Amino acid sequence: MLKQTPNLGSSVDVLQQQMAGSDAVCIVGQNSSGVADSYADGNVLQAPAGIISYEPDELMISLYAGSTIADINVALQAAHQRILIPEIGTIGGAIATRRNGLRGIQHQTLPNNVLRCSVIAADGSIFQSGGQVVKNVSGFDLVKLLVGSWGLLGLIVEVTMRTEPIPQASQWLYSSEPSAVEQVNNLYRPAVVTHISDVTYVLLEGNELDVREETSRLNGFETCDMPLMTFPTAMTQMAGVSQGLPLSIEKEIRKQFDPSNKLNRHIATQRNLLT
Amino acid sequence: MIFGLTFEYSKEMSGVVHTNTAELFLVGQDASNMTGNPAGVCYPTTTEEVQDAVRWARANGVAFIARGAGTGLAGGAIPTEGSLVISLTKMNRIRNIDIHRRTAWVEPGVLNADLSRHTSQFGLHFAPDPSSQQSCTIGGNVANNSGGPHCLSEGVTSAHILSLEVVLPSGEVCVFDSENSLFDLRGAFIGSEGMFGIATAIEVRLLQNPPHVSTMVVGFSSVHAGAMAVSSIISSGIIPSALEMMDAPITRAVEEYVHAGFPLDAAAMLIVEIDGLEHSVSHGSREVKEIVMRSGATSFTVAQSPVERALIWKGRKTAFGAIARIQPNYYLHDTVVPRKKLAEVLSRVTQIADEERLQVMNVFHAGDGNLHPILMFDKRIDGVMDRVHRAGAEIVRVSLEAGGVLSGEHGIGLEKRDFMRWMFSENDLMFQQKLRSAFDPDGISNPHKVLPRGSGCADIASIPPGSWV
Repeated sequence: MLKQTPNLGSSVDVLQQQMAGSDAVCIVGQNSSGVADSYADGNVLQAPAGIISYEPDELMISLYAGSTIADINVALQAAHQRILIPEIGTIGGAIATRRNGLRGIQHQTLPNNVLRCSVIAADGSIFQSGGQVVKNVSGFDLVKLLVGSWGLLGLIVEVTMRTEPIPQASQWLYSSEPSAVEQVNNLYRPAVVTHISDVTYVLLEGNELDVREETSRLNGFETCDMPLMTFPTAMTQMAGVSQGLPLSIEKEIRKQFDPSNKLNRHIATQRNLLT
Repeated sequence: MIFGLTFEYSKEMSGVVHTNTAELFLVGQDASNMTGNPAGVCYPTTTEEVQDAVRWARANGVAFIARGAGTGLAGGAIPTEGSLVISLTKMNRIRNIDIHRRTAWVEPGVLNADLSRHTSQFGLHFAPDPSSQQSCTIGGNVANNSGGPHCLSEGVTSAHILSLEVVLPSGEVCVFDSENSLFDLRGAFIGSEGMFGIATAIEVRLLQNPPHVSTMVVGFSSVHAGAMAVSSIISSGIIPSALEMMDAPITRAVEEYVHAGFPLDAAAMLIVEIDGLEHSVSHGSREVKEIVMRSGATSFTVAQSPVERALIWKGRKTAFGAIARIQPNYYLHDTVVPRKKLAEVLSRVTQIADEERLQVMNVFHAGDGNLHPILMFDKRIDGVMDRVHRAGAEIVRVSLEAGGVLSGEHGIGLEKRDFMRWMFSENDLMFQQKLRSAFDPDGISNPHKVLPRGSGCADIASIPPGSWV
């Protein structure tokens, strides 16, 4: 049974106290992934929202994890920049559920674009990993572990993301010709290639003249808007099936990070990660 | 000798583990200034042989350390006293290449440059390109999450590794990929400096070779002007494939050695490379030229052929070799600062070197804010190492004060282990230790690296006596 805590979206220190004082916690953003379902129990904890700092010249933005992608995009578009995450829910939710968007479908851009995370651990303490620079190998990479961790290792409260300039031109094309797959494979690094029901979709991005020339190289393709794509927003679309030794290591990580099985335990149960 | 056992007495490892002094001396070093004292070294050729070695080490309470080419600069490959070195240099096969998916499975001992040389016939390459790429291994790149000039636009090693076959410290073997776990164990393993187990096969992502490349060399009358130009290029929305800076002393040293046509009258020079499709390269190059000229560039040249381009990169990547013409020893540092702080921190680095009466040169990945100050010295001079270490610590401190981090690509190893508390809280370190414990509860795999003593570390064996930390 879920219990709404009185201070949803409250300050980090209040959240720390709530975490420390709870026997069970459901970590959730806007619940766009359905985490707060009928199996969830405990106190609902939600990260605060808001931009902490945005430095367009450094291609970097620091945020409270409860910030919505829509709000972030408004801020970024003013500087003609973007983050490659679908406009669904919060940044914390996107990171926790590894919601790669667009180019990330193929290249897992999300994990590489999260530069720093600050997390409230199960015991209410704060730990951080990463840094506010674009390159960093200082210590073990807890950031990679947190991306896609579904709230099982702590409540992500702050993040620093890499941003990128919006390209000059962008064009979706599609084709159901048998040669479509080979044709797009011969293009030089298209932004996105995806196949939906025997139709090949490709997104070309970059310099306007290059996009035009690449488009003209494709035979039997038509221009289109972005196809309706389903991003993994439901818990049923979680990554892979844990088993064998990887499952043992995951359990051990859980035991180390959440020894009392406090965090999102309905997900831990579903993934056989209770310790 | 650990727990009263020597390798000679171990029948099952007889003939497999080498214990002669010359080999142990060699594997007791890496490219840092530290040395270790291992008890034995073995050279497995298969995953099963790696498992045998790990199991044997485990059964006998001996720490083990995986080793590639030993090109690491932070002491990550320095063996602890009495440990077993598992050298992976004989696991050097490219197992297969999938041209359609643009991926390859390789063994850890494959040399970085060999992989790209081999895949060039298919128009493909492996993006991470550390300066040591002629001799460093893919396994070492995984352990350190290595970078290189072209990681500015393509990302560091982690962005190019799809799956890993790993021998765990338990001796068991498993695969980390995107399918068999919820947590990104692959991502957590990369950059763990050999402390989570041994990667025995690596699935890499290969990139198409760019159809067009423009490599520009730009001279400036001051380091400050060059650093400001770096910020202006990035903030204009151009992400070059590489954006490197060399100051005057290193430029002169390299030019005498390589004859790449670098501007000898410049106080600093940038190498700016843009690659991709025709128009983005020509448009980007024009924009870069406009920006650097506005920023006070004193010279601007563009490589006119692949041969000229190769010479520029030879100059950049062999810079460290050129230093031997100036001083017999050098200490190469590695920190990262926000790009906007480059000029300020570089100025402080010069001051620090002056205060310690050391020569300093800078050749680094400016586009990433990844500094590589090189302190040059003659270690035969009494007390010089104290000054080198004091200057190094101060460079680290200044970088952190500027909002930077301890390391951009060399890792922590032993070198920066005791600086970790300058960047992380005790709690941060405790959670890093928790992750380590989940992979290696007994602390048997490359112990005593990365995490400072007292951060919950329960590693076995002792630190190398020659290390200065």
